[in-house]
Amino acid sequence: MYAKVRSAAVYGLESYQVEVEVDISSGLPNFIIVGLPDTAIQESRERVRSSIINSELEFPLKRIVVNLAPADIRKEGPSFDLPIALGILKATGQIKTNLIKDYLILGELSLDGKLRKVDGTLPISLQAKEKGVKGIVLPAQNALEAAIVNGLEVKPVNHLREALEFFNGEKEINSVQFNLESIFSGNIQYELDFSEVKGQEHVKRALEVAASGGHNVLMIGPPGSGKTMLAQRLPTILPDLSLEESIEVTKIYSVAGLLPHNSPLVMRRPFRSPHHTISVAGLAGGGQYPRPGEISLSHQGVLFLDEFPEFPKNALQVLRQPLEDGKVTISRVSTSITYPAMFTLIGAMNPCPCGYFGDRLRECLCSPSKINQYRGKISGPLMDRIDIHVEVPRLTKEELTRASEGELSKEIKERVEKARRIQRERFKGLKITCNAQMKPKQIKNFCRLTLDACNLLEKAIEELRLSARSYDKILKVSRTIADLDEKEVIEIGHIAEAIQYRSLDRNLWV
Amino acid sequence: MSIGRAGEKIAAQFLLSKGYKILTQNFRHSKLGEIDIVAEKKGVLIFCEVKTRKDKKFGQPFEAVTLKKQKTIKKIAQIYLQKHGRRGKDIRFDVISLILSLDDNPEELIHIENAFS
Repeated sequence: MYAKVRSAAVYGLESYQVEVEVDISSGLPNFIIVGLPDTAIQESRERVRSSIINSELEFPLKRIVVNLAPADIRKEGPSFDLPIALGILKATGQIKTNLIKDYLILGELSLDGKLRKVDGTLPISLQAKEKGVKGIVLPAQNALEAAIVNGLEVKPVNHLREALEFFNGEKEINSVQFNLESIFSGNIQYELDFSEVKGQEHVKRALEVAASGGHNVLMIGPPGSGKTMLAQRLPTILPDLSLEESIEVTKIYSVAGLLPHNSPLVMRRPFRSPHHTISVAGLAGGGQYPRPGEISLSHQGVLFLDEFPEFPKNALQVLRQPLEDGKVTISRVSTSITYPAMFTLIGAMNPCPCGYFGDRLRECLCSPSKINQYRGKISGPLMDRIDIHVEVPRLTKEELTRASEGELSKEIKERVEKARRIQRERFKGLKITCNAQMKPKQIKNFCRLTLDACNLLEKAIEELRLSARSYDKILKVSRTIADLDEKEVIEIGHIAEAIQYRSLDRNLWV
Repeated sequence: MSIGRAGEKIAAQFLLSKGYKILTQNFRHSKLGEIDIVAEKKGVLIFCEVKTRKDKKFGQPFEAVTLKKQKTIKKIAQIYLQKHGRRGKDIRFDVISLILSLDDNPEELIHIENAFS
């Protein structure tokens, strides 16, 4: 007695189909699973057995062999529970129709036959649609996520019995529908707003520039000056995610199992702030079965690294390639996996180990060599990829007690969106979308300066002894500032502001 | 007579009626234990384990043939083969599962051919 059930698994962000074959033959009762299953799948034997018996169905006292094909790819996770159970029911004749072959089946079983949610539903249903599968049967908690894909019958089930009744034609299950347009027409709300931050106007301006041009930022300031507060509010001024971007981000969260069950689509730009004890694998992604790391979880959003120099040196080095390419590749012996990782990096650091170098009120206790060592933890090549450095000084008493509210995030966001539109227009047909991604040749093409702006830049390079590296950064940032100003040619004011954002190059600090 | 012995007798009769030739009953190895029935049919040597019970309170009798028991039977079978010079022959392990009524009459008999290997 043989039965075949279709299922699927995820590797990286890609999904592949898995055929669950069940063969039941006479012999002493035995239940084996082959096809490179991991521990979670081996344990599924116990879940399948108990849930079938507890659903008042018959579990055959025979030799059961389950094969997960293709047999040469390692399978993981509990999502094969339901297909295996249904395969057994089909092979023993408890499922009487052939309806089962039209559907892709996913789901983890609990011992009483109830279904639990599984990870990676979105990539699986996207691929199922591509392969022309008619529908997908899965735990009810995952239904909305799968329904993002149009043209796929999504049948939610809560219990093994319900699935059995559906495949026996005894029960109709309504397909879950999901209206993408209606969800995308609504405005996205954030709990945070820039108006809550007092003072620090120049930092807000720097973040506005960063949001407009996609530049990475390093904030330097003493403890308690508001670096974290400012960074947390950056997503509120970034332009809204487009549908494609949103689906891309949702895929990552789906695979990582981090989707909130009430909202199947990630609509807000992610903000991730991992602790500085994070490992390389935690940041970049990895593990025996590779999982997306923090940089991929902040795809299309903000990665905030507080206490920047305290991060392990190799963890910071790992950021270099993703910052350049917008993706990260994790290599394994058999395959390699690529996760997208296009994020805005916001680093925050103290000016010195004690935190009070250059402070107006407290004296710094650090020796110059200590300060140098602290700064040296962030390597040159990484520094290269950070366009904007901005000091976040301690607020004065007057600034703290001043009653006036700052500008609303909404107003800043409007300017940012305008600047982004100009950039999209400019880079049409090129592979880049914002100023921060410009290559040297494109900088030459797109960054035209007025005469006095040119003079100022030359003078600045000379007097401040700026490097060639800084020169490019200044041009890129000034391009963004000019876009915010809606100017075609970069003017002296734009250049002057951009020079302000190179404080670490100006060596004012040491 | 114990239930086990009674069951083995009934099982042997059942095999005979099916055209099997009984070669040995209760082939013992002093340390390992014994094989209930060794039989032959169409050139295939059959080692048969008989499990007998009075009721199904603890499940089917054949469920009690655990992996450990199976290993033991295989070992004894090897010793049987050495002694009787039957190498090169096809062999098979069967299980006969019996439920007896209170007066030792068979109520249910399940013969699992090629139960394990």
